[in-house]
Amino acid sequence: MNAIEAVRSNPAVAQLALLLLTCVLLPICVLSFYYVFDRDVKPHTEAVRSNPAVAQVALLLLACVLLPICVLSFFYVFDKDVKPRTEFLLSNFEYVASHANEPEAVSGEWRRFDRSIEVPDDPYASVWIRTDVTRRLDLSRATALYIPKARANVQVWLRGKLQHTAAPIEEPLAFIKTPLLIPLGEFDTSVERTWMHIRLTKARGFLMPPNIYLAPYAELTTAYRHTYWIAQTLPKLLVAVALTMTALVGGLFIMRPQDTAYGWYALYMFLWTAHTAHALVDNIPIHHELWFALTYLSLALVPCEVIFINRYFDLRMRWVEKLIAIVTTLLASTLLLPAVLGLKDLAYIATHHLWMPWIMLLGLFVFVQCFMAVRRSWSIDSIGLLLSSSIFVVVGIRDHLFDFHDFVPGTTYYLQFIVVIPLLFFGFLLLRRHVRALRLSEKLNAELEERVSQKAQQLEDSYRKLTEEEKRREVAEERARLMRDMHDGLGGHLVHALSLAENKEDRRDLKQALRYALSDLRLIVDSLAPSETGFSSLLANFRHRISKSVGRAGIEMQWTLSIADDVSLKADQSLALLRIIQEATTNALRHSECKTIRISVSTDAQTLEAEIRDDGKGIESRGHGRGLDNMQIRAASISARLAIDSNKAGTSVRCIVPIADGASPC
Amino acid sequence: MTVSIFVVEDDASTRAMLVDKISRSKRHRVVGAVGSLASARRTLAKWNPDILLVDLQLPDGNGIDLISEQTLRNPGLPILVISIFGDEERVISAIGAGAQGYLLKDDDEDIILDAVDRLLRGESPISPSIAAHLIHRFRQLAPNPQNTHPLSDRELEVLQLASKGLSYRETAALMGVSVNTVGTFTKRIYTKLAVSSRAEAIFEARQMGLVLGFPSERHRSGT
Repeated sequence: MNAIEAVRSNPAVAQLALLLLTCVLLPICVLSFYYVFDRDVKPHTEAVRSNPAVAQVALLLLACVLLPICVLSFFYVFDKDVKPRTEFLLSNFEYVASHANEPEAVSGEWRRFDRSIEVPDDPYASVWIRTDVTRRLDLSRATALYIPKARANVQVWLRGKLQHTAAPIEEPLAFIKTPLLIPLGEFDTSVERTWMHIRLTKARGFLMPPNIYLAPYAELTTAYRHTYWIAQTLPKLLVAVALTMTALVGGLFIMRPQDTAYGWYALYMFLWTAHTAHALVDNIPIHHELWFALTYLSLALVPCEVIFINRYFDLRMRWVEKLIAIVTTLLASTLLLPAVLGLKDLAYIATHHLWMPWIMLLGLFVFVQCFMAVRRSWSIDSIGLLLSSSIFVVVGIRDHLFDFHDFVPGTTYYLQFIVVIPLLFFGFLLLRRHVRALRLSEKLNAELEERVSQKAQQLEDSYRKLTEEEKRREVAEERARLMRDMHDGLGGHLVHALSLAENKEDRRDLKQALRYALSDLRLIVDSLAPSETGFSSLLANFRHRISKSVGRAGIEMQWTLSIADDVSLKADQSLALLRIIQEATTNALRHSECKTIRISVSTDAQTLEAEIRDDGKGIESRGHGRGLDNMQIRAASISARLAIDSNKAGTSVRCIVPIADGASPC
Repeated sequence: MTVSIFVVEDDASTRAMLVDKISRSKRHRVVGAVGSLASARRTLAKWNPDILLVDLQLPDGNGIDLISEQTLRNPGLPILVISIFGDEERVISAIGAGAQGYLLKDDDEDIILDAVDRLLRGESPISPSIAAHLIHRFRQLAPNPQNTHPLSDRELEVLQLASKGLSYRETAALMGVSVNTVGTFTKRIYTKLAVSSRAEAIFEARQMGLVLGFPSERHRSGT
């Protein structure tokens, strides 16, 4: 207890501790809370929905009770009402209600004044109080009057002379909430009795005898400064912070109008600061009736809070919102209209029998909402909301009592300090929501990139597979063609050569068979040239080779080529056609006894035509040989037309090959 | 007077066949037939042949190396490459190294002897594939029109006609020259290929820093 008393008796330490706590410790608490409980990335809708255990609920309810008690104890410890010494407190007041403007004019019977009295209905009808301060004035030192809580407009008279007027006694009538420190002037010591008259003027409500200290100036300054700091400086600071917060949240709402919850929160905070400002303004700027109406109107922060909670926790009570909005608007107009029109009775009824019950009802509803939110999602958001609401209710009750009863300890209203809690709490929620959104978008981005790269990989894989497959197919086709080609020509010649060698036939026949095999192999090698090689190039190799044999046989060979360099056939077509040309030429060389062989190759858009014509004795005379059958089969295999025309004047072999679109470059 | 021929061929039966085919001629004589690069190097100088036939694939190295060596040591020695069909690229490498012609292993004896005689007269054989390859090579050597083409127009014409499969006789008739002239054109083309190949090799060696540039060039680059 000694430690607490030590802190309480030292206002400087208390102030420092309070400042330290609000500015440093609370943010640290909130941040550490944040880092402990908000590690994983989850969209808001995926918040934990598991039903809380009974123990958890019990713990929460206990916290709802304990936390406000803690807060009040905190205030009790740190908000020591620093008072001057009790011997300076004036007592034995007498009062009389009077219209008089100066003490001499006061008429009526002075009565003892120890309880609150009702203020006369007329705003200019003040209450005069007086006390005998004869022996209290030590005129050798500078003396002053100290009134911590006036709760009315104040005028001080001493020995019938006006000493101080806190504010002009006229409309709009000031309502002094600032602590007053009034220096007193010099006095004539010859006068025997010294009366102090104080005129208290209040627009409405009750008047209570204020605590008034009369002491040497130096004895009062400490208490005055402490009270002023708690009652004015600190609340003004908090109001400024709250307004900044309101602007931030409001700006967020303007930039993201779809987040209506933030709009309601900004309105809620704005009304809150307006309501708090009422306790800080002495000289009210407008008629007191309208001022009081506006003060009550600022309690519309409660319906705003209801709607905010509804939206933030997605409680889906649109019809309740509509009802609240309609009723609040109606009651607000009944609150304002009589005040504007000066209908005092109606204004009183509207305020105390309609508006305030409605606000209190909504305050209870906030509690219901909090429990709904907790039931809906057992999360920091809802639990924090419930706890802060419980603190609000208790502190609100305390402030209400503080306004009317002196037994309530403390210097000033506490709700204005409590505003720190929603400020920090919802600041924390905003921060967390922001961080979550960032994390979520980062995560989604990463997932998207991952998926895109996977898709790209898949595409690449399938493309590679496709090309590999294509290549494999091409190679297989080429291999099959090569096998077929070798089997058709080369193989046949070699088998023939083998049988000749086994039968020990004429070596010349064997040599001939091997030459055929070699020639065919050359044609196969030629046909393996790159697909873009024109048919004329393939033909050139054959022409070069055949011209050696032709020259030695003494036969003239005439070539007529009307074929562009870039006309190409498919590999199998080239080979088959070359074989046909070679077969026909060899037949002419060996069997026809001709003088001249004419080979002409020409093309048109769709076909390539090759003709081998000799002037020999013709085929008829030597029968229908195997060579001709081979030529027919080869022509058929490439869908070519083969025409063999032979008579005694010579033989003509004509082969017409279709040029496939893909095989003939334009 | 007989022509002395030296054969470098690793396959014994092919070597025997070649020797046999050449020996049937009265005018030709095989003075040496070896199966490896080493023995060729050892005995070649001793026999001093009129003409050298070289196979490219030898058990102890590449016939092209032997061609380069002999071209440097004995620039007048005519060299024929023994090749098989479809092997034009290696034939062209050999020509670049200094060979002046080629013959196919399965050529008849009269074709082989004809090629030998023609080579001694200063004529080189050519095939359409080789001509096509050469046209491509020379086009690579002269990439821009400002560079004077290493081949004359007539030489280029010979190559183009050869690539179409025309015989010397047909080419000569078309160009209005004798058959022998076409053969000498071909030999000149081969010589130009060898010269440009050597120049290319020197240029590349200089690029790689194996051969020093001329002093004047170094001076120029130094300022």
